[in-house]
Amino acid sequence: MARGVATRLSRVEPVAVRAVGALALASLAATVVLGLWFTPEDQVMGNLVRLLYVHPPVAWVAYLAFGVTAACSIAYLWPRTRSPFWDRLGAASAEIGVVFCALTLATGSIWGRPTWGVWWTWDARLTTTALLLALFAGYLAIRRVTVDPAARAKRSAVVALVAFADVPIVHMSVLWWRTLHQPPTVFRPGFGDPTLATPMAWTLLLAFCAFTLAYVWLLAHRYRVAVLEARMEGEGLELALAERRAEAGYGEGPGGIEGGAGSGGDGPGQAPVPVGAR
Amino acid sequence: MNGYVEAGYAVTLATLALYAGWVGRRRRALNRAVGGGGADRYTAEHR
Amino acid sequence: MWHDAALVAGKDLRIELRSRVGAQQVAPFALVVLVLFAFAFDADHALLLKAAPGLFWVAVLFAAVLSIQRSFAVESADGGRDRLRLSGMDPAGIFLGKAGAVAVQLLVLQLVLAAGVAILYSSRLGDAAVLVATCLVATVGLAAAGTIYGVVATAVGASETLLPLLLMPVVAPVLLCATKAWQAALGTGATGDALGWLRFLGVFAVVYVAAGVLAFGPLVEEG
Repeated sequence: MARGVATRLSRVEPVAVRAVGALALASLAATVVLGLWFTPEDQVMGNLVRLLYVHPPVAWVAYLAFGVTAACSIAYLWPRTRSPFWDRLGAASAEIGVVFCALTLATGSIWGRPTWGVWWTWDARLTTTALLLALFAGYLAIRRVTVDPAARAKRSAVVALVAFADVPIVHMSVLWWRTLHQPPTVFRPGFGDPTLATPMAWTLLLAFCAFTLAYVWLLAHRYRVAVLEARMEGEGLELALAERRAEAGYGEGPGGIEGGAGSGGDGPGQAPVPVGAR
Repeated sequence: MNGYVEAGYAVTLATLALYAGWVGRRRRALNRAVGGGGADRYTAEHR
Repeated sequence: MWHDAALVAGKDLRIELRSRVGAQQVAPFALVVLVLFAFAFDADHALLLKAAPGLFWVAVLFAAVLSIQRSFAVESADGGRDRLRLSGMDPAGIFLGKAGAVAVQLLVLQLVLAAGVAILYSSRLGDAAVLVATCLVATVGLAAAGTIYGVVATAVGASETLLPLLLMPVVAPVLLCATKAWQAALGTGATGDALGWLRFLGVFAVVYVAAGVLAFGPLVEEG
């Protein structure tokens, strides 16, 4: 089944990924323009409400990414669906999740400072998110130090599930811990919130779509990296030997090889992640 | 007050761009390392 | 399963009794941590008394990391790991045995630490029932989560640095709930009923014992 998914993915992948990338870029640009200039200010929060179009969508993507990692881990541990596909997809998603989780904390801090007067507060959601970041940083760490691919896949899947099971417990305990002292302080954005003006609601929806598309796009590219890494692990030694031999033969150093491979590799048909796209 | 909003957008977009760039760099480096072929190499995995 | 668990636990505890690493290194270290906290808080009596439950549980966490590392260092030396796998024992039994041995060591350690807290910080350990119940439930959760991560981390040979990173965030709720329950028992913290916190600890313990029983098979079978 996983193989089927992978095959289908590879068939439609070049076109679909590029389409998703283009959509992600366009919608992100639209979100920025709408969010920064065309949406009204909030009566209570003033200009700061514009962070609404960044912070909650980023947080949503972080949770989504970790959820995908957990789902992939289950699929990997289940003997019938076990396949390297799930392992790689889970790893790719976790890495993106860590990036978005860190961004969630950063943007939350930037929002919290003018709103609450502090960079950090021991709110249940903040604390849970911080622990989540630490948990999945551990997941990435264990992937990095394990050499054998099968063992790594199993161990990291278990780590991901254990980490994911911890999230509700952490959240509930911290919630209870803090609510003994103070009412929840986080401004609750809700799409159905009647206080949210219509342009704001639509921009928020757009922002959610934009960041989710960006996640899907990054995931597709990061998955390819995972596949190439696995290939590298398999062929690493032979390749290194071949390279050394080639170096000795041509006598012109690694530059010659790089040039030769580069001309075959990054042809015009390739769609590398545009580094300077923004 | 406004500085915070701009900072929030800037941090987010810059981080995403940097991360995307890093993924792309790793991918191109690996592509070269396994002998080029770009996307072909990727699809060959799932022939 | 239970028989295997008893065998493994008995083996581990016998090793500990003979090597005395727990008694001679881990417990003294935990006591040193208590003393260091006193330095950090400038031996402010009121402050120490107030913070005693939290300090106690932080010291327990540090010591737990050491105990778990020790518990798996024993296995990785001389190929003990492979022999354990070859012994044909139920992985769930191995998990319960190892976790049980760690739990017993931690409970003994907590006894020492509680005495240390009572003497060094002059805490009055009232409401013994709640204190003991908290220790029991929290220790089960700590030992279970620690054993899962112990086998994951030690297998890669980077356990000294990796285990704390993996384990500490996961057991953070144990620290929080156990501290709160102790505060309620000692009457130091805000308020809150100890039973509610005990329930959280119970949920944590059940989740991680179940996770360990399920996950240990796949984890052990492959190096």
